[in-house]
Amino acid sequence: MQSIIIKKIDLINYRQFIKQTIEFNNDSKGNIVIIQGENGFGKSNIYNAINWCFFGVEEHLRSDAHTLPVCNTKIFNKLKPETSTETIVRITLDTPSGEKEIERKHLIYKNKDGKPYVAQNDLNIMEVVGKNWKIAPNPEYIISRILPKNMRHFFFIDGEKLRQLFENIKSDQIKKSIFELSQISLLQNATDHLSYFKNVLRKGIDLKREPDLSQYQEYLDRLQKTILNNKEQLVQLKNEVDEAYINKSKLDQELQELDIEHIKTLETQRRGLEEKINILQKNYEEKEKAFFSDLIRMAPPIIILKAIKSTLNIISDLQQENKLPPTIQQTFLEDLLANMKCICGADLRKEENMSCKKTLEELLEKAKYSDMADDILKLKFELKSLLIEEGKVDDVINKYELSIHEIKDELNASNKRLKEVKTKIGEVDYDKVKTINEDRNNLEKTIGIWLGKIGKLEVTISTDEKKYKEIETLYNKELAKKDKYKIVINKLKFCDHAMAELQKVKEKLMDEIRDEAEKNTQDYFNKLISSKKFSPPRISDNYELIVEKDGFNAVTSLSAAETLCMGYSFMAALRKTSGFLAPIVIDTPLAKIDKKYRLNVAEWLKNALYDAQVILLVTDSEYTKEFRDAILPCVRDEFILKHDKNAETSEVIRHAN
Amino acid sequence: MQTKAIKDPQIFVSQELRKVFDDMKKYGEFKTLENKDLFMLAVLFGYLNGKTKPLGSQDKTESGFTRERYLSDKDNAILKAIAIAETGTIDIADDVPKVYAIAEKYANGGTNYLKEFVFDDPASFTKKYASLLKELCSKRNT
Repeated sequence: MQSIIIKKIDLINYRQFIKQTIEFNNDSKGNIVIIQGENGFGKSNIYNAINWCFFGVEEHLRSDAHTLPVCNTKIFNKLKPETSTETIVRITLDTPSGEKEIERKHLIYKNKDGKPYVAQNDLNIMEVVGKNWKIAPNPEYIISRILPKNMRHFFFIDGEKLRQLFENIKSDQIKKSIFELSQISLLQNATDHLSYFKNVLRKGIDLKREPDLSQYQEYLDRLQKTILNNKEQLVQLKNEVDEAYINKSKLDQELQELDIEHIKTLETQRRGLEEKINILQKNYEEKEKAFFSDLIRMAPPIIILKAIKSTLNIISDLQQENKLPPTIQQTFLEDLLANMKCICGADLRKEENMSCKKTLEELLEKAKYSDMADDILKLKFELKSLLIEEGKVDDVINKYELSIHEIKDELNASNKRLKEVKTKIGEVDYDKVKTINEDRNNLEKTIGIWLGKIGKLEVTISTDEKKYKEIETLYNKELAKKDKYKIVINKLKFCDHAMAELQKVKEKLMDEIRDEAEKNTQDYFNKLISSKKFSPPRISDNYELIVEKDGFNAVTSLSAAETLCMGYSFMAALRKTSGFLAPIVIDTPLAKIDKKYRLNVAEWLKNALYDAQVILLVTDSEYTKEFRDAILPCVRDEFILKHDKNAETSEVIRHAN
Repeated sequence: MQTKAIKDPQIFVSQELRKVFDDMKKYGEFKTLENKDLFMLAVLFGYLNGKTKPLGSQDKTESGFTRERYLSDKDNAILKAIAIAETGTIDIADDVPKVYAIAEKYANGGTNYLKEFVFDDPASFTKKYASLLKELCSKRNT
């Protein structure tokens, strides 16, 4: 059966794409389309655009981006208040029933405060009827026949998040997937139709003439209406819960990516570094201060070295020539002369001792210079000390310079490290963490409320259905009393019998489909991963996905790559089993896959999805030469994303090859 | 020779040098220097460049920039060595006012050199001064 193919994607004023048409090559063979681009160039927004166009949701947005309009931010910012701009994503499909063009359009209005709001949200599908294009009457229904919204995660796959999605998948979701993808809803529709037909049969009886039946019929009508309403509510609630779980997983993933523990470690590092830098800075300043004051202290003997040496020479010459006056105590001589008594005891008043007196008087005259001699000796001592200091100066300077250099190096290294740590911390948006946590808590609360409502509704529905059957039995008994309604009774019995048979067929089909899905999952998984560590994956009776290892279900302990391969296998199996023909879009398909498995994935893409259009949004590091060579025979188109950093716009251009 | 009668003589600097010192005191480590340290620095720059300039009479009308009592023995020895080298006689060592007068001439002569050296980049004074001293050390070794 022919698959559904995306022929063209038009992006007008969507995120970083101002006016972009990506037209896929129809002539060449191959089913794989490559759109290659670096992170931030717009790969995920192409993935988002496809999701948005089909289902009105953007899967791969940062939580803070949800508050932004889908239009290009620069264009929106340039808008004057109370004017609007239009965003369009248009996807042209080639389907077995002809070409279809899905177009989602937002009219984004800028209010007086400059805030955006979506003034108009249109979804239209144009299809070829005969030779003309016409607007299809029920676009949501047409999309649901191409791919049910709940199943989009298995066709429009976010490689980064698939592991999360897959780890959190519940058995009832697997059951529902198999149910929906297998189109068993057709059998359910038949059952519903029979139920409706039974009502029609019963309403054919003129109740005015049958008051006994009338009360039962009224009761049955009321009950049926209630049951239908409750079932509708139940479906809606379950869908909302499923969505909420997926959103919660995404928030968990975002939190995980933020890595709170890592942030704490970085914070500790930052504090430690800041303290270290403070100490180093103080050390540095103190060293500089000490160096400065030591330089001031040490400089004179170097600068006046010549003067010092010359002074010392003069002093030395004077000493050698005995021209320096001797050190004589002036007061002592004055005392001797005042008392007229020599040191030897001679009386200086006596004539014969006049020569002694004269000697003492000469010595006293010399003693007047003895202070100067002291000063010169002192000066000599000081200058010699200065010379000793001078000899050490270059050593001291070198030591200071080395020590200051070392501190400065350490300071620079610490500052550099601090800058790196701060940059890493700066990349973490604490408001974002808070917002995610708040969103997550709100989601958990809402899920709790919804699950409570689901439980109540299920009990109410089950009680009402039981009641319905009881009343129906009473009704049938009453009806059986009346021969004139024999035909109606037989028709009603036939309907009941048919409904019971349909139920059996449905269960049998479900079992068969489950078995087939299980077998296909095993086949694909074995092709992707040849590890014998665990048993082949199974889908149990209660639709639980099981990978046994040592007798336990090891599905949640698989490696990232193994889980991703399991996800791909399950997706391919569901696709094959269900016969849904939607294209497959995978954003970063190999991001979490080890190099050793990448070529297996290439083979698997070629073999398992040969009949599907597969659009791979890959980074440069994923789309290696080895991987490219491996899938090239199946590559229909290759595109490259170009990004203009200044204009904050991207464009998709066809690969030169 | 009997000059010791002048008790605690004052040391004068020119008005221009005083202004240079005032400006220097606005920068980093210079704030921590005493007047006598600044004076000694100026003397050294004058001596290093072999430049003297007598003070004008107007310079001595102001109160002295520092006094003998603030100088250490080492400072005095330096100033005396300069004076002895300048005059070639040891006797000057005992004439403190003369020693200071010679020092004042050198300080005054060093004004522009000091100004240029400091204010070219006050933040890198230590680095430049260290490198100057190292250069002098290396010259001394050769």
